[in-house]
Amino acid sequence: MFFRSRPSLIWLCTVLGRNCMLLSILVILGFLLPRLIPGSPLSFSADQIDVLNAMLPEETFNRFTDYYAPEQPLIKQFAGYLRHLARGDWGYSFHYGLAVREIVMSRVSLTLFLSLTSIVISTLIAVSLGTYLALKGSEYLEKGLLTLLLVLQTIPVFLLAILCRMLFAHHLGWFPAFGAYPLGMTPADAGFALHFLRHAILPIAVLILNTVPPVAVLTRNVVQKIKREPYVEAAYYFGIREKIIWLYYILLNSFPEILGRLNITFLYAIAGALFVEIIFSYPGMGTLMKVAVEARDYPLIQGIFLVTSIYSIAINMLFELLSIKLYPRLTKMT
Amino acid sequence: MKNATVKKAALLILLIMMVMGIAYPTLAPFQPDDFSSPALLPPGGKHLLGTNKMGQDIFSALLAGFRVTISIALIVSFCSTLIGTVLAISCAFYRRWMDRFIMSVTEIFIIVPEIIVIMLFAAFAGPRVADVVMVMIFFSWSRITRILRGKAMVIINQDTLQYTLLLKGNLFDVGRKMWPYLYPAVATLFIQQCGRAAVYEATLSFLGIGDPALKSWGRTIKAALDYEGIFWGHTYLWWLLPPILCLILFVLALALLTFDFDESGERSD
Repeated sequence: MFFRSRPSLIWLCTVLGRNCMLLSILVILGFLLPRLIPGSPLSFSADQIDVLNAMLPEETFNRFTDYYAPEQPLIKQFAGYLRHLARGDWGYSFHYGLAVREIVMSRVSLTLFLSLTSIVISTLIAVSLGTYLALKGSEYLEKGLLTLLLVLQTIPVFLLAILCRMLFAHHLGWFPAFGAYPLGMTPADAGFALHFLRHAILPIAVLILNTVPPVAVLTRNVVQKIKREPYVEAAYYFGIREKIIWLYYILLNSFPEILGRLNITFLYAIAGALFVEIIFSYPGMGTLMKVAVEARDYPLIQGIFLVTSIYSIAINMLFELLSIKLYPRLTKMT
Repeated sequence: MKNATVKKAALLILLIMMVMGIAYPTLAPFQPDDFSSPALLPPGGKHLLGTNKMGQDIFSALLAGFRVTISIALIVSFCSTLIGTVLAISCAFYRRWMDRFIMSVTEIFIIVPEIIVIMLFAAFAGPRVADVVMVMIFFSWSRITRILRGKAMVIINQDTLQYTLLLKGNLFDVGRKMWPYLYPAVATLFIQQCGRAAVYEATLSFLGIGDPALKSWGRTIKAALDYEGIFWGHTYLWWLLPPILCLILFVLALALLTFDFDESGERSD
């Protein structure tokens, strides 16, 4: 027991360490780049700051200079940045005049809801579709479906969202076109849950359409490779029932490889969720991001960048830990 | 469907699109920013696709998009493929800390989606096209580097390359000797990168980042979506749909050009 658990403990530490390192690089990037890119208010020199002063309301400008302290040397600014982050103080939004953390936190849950729901559903669909294609699909069906999946996966997610909104919400009128619930409705009202679900169907469906193709193609390829392994062929010679071969010999052995590559797809699903929200005016982080970008609300943009980074790294880590938990022998291979 | 037929069709589509981009000033019936016509005309008569809210001819804007979008895609793709190739060869040549450093930087971009990083930093940059293009180039070489590094690490073991290393060849010599082996992969990645760049540009335009006067397809899509009445009546059919279809056709043709129907067809992000 002791010997079995030790390597995975070391592995756990490397996973944690690597992800922490990535997070710190992102934090440094978040500090450095706005100051390097020409045109951003943080790269302004002293006389340009006056222009910003004229652009913003007095109170916002004071908060901005208080928070970023642009007159100090870079090292001191960096220390201040880290101090603020450690305290959970992400500055004040220009546009809303509120603390960035509060605004972002009030929006996170809807984005999580959209992306996690679509991730779970699309994994179920994609893995079964991919397995079916590899094991039972006839040649024509396989080619046809693969072409369809290819076409679907090349369409950028926000265009897919616009097309779906055009067709299903406006042309056919089956679903509400925007928002997370009818205007003026509160969670206390009767029938809120039903309205909420109806509003979520279309965005989630678009996300599923966008996530299924890469995962299905990946599953198909992995399963097809494992299907030709000698131990599977041997199992056929022994006359083991086909269902058992599929489940225990092929599918269970395909999971580690699928799982290892799935996290990348999911990270892209997060970005997708942000864009789909914008098209459907779904009040999550995506719409917040659009407002922030349009209003050039730099503190808010930085806050959204941080939250997205943390979310991405958390998902990445979750997947790495999950694959270690399920397949301890992976730790010995690399 | 035969592999070669599909590729020929895709190539033909791309060629037609490029010719339209080059010849657009003679093809377009109006200047794309000429707002002398009545606003919101339906298609017909002088205006093939009607006019927008400002009284500008939509068909001319669509034609201008061929030139703008395709040239941005080509520039971004060329520069980021160049950076990616040089970095990949450096990885194989210097190894050790250089390799480890470049690889850990690319890993960040696997974990945080490129488009999020590009978007946030493009928002910080100035509104000129050049600034936005620079941000796109700067953040989109990671995928190319990662794929080419794997190939370069294998190629460097070839006899010719080992001989060059033995003669104390520098990075440039090694790169030149490696090029014939690396070239097919670079070409494929360049084509794929064109599609990505077009999508990135459209995404940024759609978010309102970059030059508002630019006549790319993304900008036309944004202008259409910003018009409140776009989904009432049928305005979206001739204002919103054409640029979307052009963009999808362009990206799809690029994807088909590199897609191998007999092989897997996996997306490698």
